[in-house]
Amino acid sequence: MAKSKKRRGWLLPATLILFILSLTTLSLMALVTYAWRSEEPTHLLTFENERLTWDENTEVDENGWARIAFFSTEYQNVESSNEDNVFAPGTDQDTVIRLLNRSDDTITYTAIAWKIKECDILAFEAGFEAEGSSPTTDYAAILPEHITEDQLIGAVTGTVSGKGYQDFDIGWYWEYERGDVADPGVGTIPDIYEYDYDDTDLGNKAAWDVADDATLGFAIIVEGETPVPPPPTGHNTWLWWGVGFVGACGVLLVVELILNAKRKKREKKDPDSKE
Amino acid sequence: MKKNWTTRVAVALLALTLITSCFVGSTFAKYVTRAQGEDNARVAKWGILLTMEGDNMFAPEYEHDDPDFTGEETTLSVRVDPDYDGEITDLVAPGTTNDGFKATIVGQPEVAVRYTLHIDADWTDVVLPAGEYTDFTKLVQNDDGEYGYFDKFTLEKDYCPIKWDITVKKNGGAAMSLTQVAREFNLQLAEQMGMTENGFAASDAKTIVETWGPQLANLMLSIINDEGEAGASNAVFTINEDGSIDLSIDFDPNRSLDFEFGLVWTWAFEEGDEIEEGIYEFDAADTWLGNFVAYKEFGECADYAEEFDAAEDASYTIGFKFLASATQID
Repeated sequence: MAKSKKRRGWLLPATLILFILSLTTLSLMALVTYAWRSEEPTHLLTFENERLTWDENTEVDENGWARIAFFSTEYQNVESSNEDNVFAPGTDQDTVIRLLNRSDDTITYTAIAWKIKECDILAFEAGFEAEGSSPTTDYAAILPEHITEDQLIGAVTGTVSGKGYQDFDIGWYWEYERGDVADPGVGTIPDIYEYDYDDTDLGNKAAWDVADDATLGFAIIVEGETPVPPPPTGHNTWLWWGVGFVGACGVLLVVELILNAKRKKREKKDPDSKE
Repeated sequence: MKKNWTTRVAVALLALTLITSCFVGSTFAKYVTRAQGEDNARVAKWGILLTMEGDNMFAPEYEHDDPDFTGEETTLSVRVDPDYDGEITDLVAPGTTNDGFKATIVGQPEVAVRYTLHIDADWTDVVLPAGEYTDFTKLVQNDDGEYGYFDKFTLEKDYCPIKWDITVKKNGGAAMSLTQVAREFNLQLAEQMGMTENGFAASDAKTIVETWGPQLANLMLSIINDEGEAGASNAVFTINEDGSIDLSIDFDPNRSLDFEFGLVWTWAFEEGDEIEEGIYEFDAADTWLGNFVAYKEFGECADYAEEFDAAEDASYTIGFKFLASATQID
């Protein structure tokens, strides 16, 4: 009797724990919504079904190279005279490429960005950031043939959990005034800076000869693991199992509560009664 | 003892739960996929050319332009004394005018541009300050029967005979005068600004800009933006701390810039109201200035040396320094 009583003493807490566990399992089997960064990306690269796909607004050529909008034909106080992208002193632009992992699995990526400028005096600078990633030197597999290591502006690696995302920020700028004052201005005529002569030469060359240009690029490789057999995306088989377990545990909990109550009532009536 | 069926069911369910959680993960196969992209851009065009010429703003001689002149065509209205050995040989005189100053900007940049014309503060102008002076236009007889220049004339304010006008020529077309546009737009306002038929005095420029700068700037824009093609904006006249004056105009990117800004100066032959037949209000001042130069440069009219020496603020030279700049707007 005493032994039985002792065994039954832990049964209620045990069934309660089981019920909570089943609820937790159910939430893991349910659909998960994404939490986005408030800034909209310039380009969306979606990983799904073991493939990377650019968003529909991103042009991709026959060789699989995307036309990433790193530059524009127009900025404040700057406007191209034709369809060429341009840049000038004082211009800058940031581009966000978002890697979206639509799968349920964690994926691993390695990403690089590069900059090519035609002319050494061209004051075109660029940077590459990917929050949460780590620098890497293991990028040989994705370094394009026409890019050399000294043209890289960053190489990172990291992971993206299932239904998660990773942003890659690539920005460039051409500083408006650089160096020391070479010739002080008079009245409202501004100072001439050390590198204004170079910048003016480049602008004149663009007007009277052939313009110098610059290129920015981005490449990414994604590795991951797929379960065998892979569950179809959105299939809810496991979800119903989870509901079933919750139901069963819930019923068991209720039954145990009722039995426990009856037992207590009985014991109260007759403390010496046997089960 | 009764079999504890709830305990057995609980244990079974717990086992099932643990087994299920193992199926969240399963066996995996590895894959690799890649994507890449590029973009490029070229340097935006500048290609602005500025020129400035002012060497011919003044001259040592001028031709007659009086339609009633009956002398030989080869004679000159004004000519520097060939025996003069001073430094300055270019002249100004009543009835002379010239448009020898030109500043041009040409180009079609892909960036916004601010064009600035700067006039240095250390300019000089022909000035006869307010005051009383001998009237050299009237040889009169005094009470003692002597003939001489005994009459006086009074200037209520400084007299600056040289008047300036700004002209704008677009795409090689006809020059448009700021003074003419201002007087046609609002004659009363233009005269309030001090803009006579021939323009305004350089010495009045500071006051005009301080009082009417925005209106003048808008008039300038209306000339440049005729038919809305030029993309000019933000015209500003500025008096700098050192007294220099700037005119700056902004141009949008991709505009065809082909402008010539000119300065025309005029010393009217007959200035002011006609006070007697053939005699005008400022003839006496012009004559005084002419005699002043004769005294200062040639030692002539020495009888009036005391008066000429006392006129410390009178000036008979005129000169300016200009600077032009085209700067990309950030």
